[in-house]
Amino acid sequence: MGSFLFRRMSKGLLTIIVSVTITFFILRLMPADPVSILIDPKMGPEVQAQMIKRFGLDKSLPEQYFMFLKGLIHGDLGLSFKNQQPVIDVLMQKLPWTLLLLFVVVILSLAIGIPIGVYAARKQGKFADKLINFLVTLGISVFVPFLAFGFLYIFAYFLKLFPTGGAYTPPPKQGIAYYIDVARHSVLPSLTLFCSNVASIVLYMRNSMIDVLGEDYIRTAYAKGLNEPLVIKHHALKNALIPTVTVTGLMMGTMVGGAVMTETIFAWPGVGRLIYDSVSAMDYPVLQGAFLILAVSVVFMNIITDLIIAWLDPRIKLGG
Amino acid sequence: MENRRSFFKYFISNRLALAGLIGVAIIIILGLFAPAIIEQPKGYGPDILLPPSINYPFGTDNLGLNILAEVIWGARTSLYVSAIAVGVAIIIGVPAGLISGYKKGFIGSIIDSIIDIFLTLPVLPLMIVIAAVVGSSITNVAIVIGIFSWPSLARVTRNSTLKISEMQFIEAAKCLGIPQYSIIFKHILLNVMGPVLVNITLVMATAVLSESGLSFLGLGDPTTWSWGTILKKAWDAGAVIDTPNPWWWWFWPSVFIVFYVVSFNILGTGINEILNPKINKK
Amino acid sequence: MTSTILKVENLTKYFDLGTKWLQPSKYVHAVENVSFELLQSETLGIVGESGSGKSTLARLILGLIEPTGGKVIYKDKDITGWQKSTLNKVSREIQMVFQDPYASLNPRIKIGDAIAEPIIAHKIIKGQSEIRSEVERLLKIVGLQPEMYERYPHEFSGGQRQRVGIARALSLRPNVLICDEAVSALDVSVQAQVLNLFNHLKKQLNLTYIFIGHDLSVVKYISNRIMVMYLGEIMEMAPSKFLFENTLHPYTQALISAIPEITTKASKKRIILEGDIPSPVNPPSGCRFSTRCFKVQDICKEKHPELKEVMPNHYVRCHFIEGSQGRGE
Repeated sequence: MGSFLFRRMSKGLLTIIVSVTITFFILRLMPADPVSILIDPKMGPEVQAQMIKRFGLDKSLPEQYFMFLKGLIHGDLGLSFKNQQPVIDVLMQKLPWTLLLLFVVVILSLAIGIPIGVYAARKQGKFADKLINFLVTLGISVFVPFLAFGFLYIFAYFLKLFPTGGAYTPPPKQGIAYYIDVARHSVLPSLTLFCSNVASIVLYMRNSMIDVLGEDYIRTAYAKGLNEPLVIKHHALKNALIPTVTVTGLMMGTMVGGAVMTETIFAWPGVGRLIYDSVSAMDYPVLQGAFLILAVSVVFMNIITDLIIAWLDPRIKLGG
Repeated sequence: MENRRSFFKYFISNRLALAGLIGVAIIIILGLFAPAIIEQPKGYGPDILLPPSINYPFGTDNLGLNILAEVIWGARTSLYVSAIAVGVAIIIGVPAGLISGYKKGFIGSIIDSIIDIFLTLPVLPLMIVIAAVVGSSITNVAIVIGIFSWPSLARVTRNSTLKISEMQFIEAAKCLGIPQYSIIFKHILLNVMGPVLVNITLVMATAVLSESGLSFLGLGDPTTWSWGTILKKAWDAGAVIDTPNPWWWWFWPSVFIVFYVVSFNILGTGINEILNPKINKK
Repeated sequence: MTSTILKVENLTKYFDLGTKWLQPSKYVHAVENVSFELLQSETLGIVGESGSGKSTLARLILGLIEPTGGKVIYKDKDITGWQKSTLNKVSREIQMVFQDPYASLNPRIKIGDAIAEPIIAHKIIKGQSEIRSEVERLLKIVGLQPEMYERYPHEFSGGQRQRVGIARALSLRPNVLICDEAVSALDVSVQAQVLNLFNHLKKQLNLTYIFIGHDLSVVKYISNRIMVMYLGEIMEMAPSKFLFENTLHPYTQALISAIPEITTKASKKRIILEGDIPSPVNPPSGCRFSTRCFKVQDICKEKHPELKEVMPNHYVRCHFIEGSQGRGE
């Protein structure tokens, strides 16, 4: 297990380094003038000169790269154009909201998606399976804003059951009332993200369960006289889970993308919404920082799923 | 299925593939012949926010323009973007997958690592950053999407290539002195086309989702009609929670997006079923 | 007099199993110190179980794999490790017919095009119609109809596909043809047809064969000389007749006794080898056959026997040749 984890962590580190480098090069080598991208054009010329020095825009490219890396390690991601706040502070404010959303969605997707996938595999070829397949195809094809609009229309506008946006209705309440308020506001955004993600999980779970159930060792289990739920629980489930967990890790990247659109529509105060606002404001330092922080989060989540896989798969646990 | 004739026969008999193909064909016809079908929506008109009627089957938006026209011209844009994105993805991804799967070794692992990294990164935020910097012409957006689609195509190509490389007819070709580029780009390519084709349909589908997403967030080309741009305008005008609610404004573009994506997805699933008849037999 | 067309000297191949951290490398000893000469126009049969190294040996001779040590000399030229992908004249002259008729042809290419491809690649013949006539000529030689040019491999039976494979190998006009288990995947009746085809082609085209197989009765039918391999080493090598009349090595004796016979006589006692096949990763010291040999003595486990010519043209690797005569009882 040790060498497996070591390899995965190195890969994670490499991914972060690549993200950092890509970000660096996008803003330095693009046809647009890097000065106008990094430094708010509204600032006065002396401040601009100061910023140029600070970011080393007058130095050579390799030197700039090292300054960039050094700054990153100290958490310096530049200053937001909008309000001159350090980007890192802005991000740290918003990140927990996004992580909350993602966390809820992942747990729900796995908790509901896995059983449905197993059920579809057991009923392969029958009507229930076909219906689930149909819904899954719709689910993976859905356009997140459409889903969001649909839920908004039905639940917020029509039925007036849920609020139309934000994480809480200001002013923020205290104690339990606060949490309940946040929970109410989180229902629609979570539901939106959930619907677009659970489909993939059901699909992978169903397919890998079908593969596992076709294996000889499952036939042996039945021949030994075990009944179906027992066979599935003891023999098939763990093995079928492995590809599903793997794909959940890989889905993190796309989930973050979906979160961007969901947060925008529901005005959820997370990094996704921040990206949308920054695009309209052309606040490039924030955009750059947001991407980096999301990349790091995704790598981190991938390592967690790798740990789970290492625990599930005895070949890795024992073999390393 | 081995040769072209029997592939066609199987194709017709597989309902999924057929349905997907019909859906795709509809979109292609709409997109290609948009100028002949309906006039391009421009400027503004007097009939603001009218619900669907005979004159305006999909209603009008807040500028008084015919939404049906917007949606049909949107098909044109989506087709254009998918085509370019897929083209870029194929040009980079297929050779990368072939070479990385056949040669293995150092180059193979480097390409594989690049694929891996790109597949884990959150791609939409990165596309947003790049699109924000390079500017929002529709071609730029298409190329950017293509650049982020090639890793998935390369991965599928590589996996198939790894399997085919071990087959005896490849060894026979080496023994007979067939040059390497022939082995890779003829013998192996002919045999990996199947899974690659399936993945191409997937890329077409996700390209439109990406483009719609970028347009919706404001990074699309404001001068072209794209389903994502229509939705953005609707959203900006508060159409979703407005009273009275012009649902037709945001409903119809979304339906077309879903139709486009579903058609390509089931086309891909259908082709996959044809290639692997075992998957759906118990 | 017949001359030596191919000579193999001390050919050795170890496969690296990959190094793990802090552990010594493990190697598979696939082929160990094999030397022999191939005479023009003869058929040399190579027999052995799976894992004996015979297929690896074939690929070493062809240059598809690089040897760890030793030389391959063809017509007095050292062609060791010449990668097959270089389009040179020598690499054409040694060709191979493969084992699996279902996997050795590209399913997406018409068989006519498959046969024509090497001709075009090596520019042996130019001009579309000339190439086409040549392919049709080759199809006729192997017993197929010229009209079959346009068909795909899946439209043929196993035996027919094997014929296509032979035609393809012959397209480069080779001198030496290595048949790696070329009939093992075919039904017995078809095997006989293809074996006869081989014999016929040998005379017609003046070919030299190396015929690899695991079935002694098949190899006996077609070979002038037979070489018996075990765990990468030659255990016995002799003209076919002598190998059967005067079997010297215990392993060969066991193999021969295992050939099924239809007879009304009381069945002869079969020699059953006991013990496990040792792993080629760590071959036993001493004689490699010692773990299963029914004549094993202490010296076998300690001292590695050399391949010695104990009678004219009859080579054996065993400590006890002087003592044993004839077949096992």
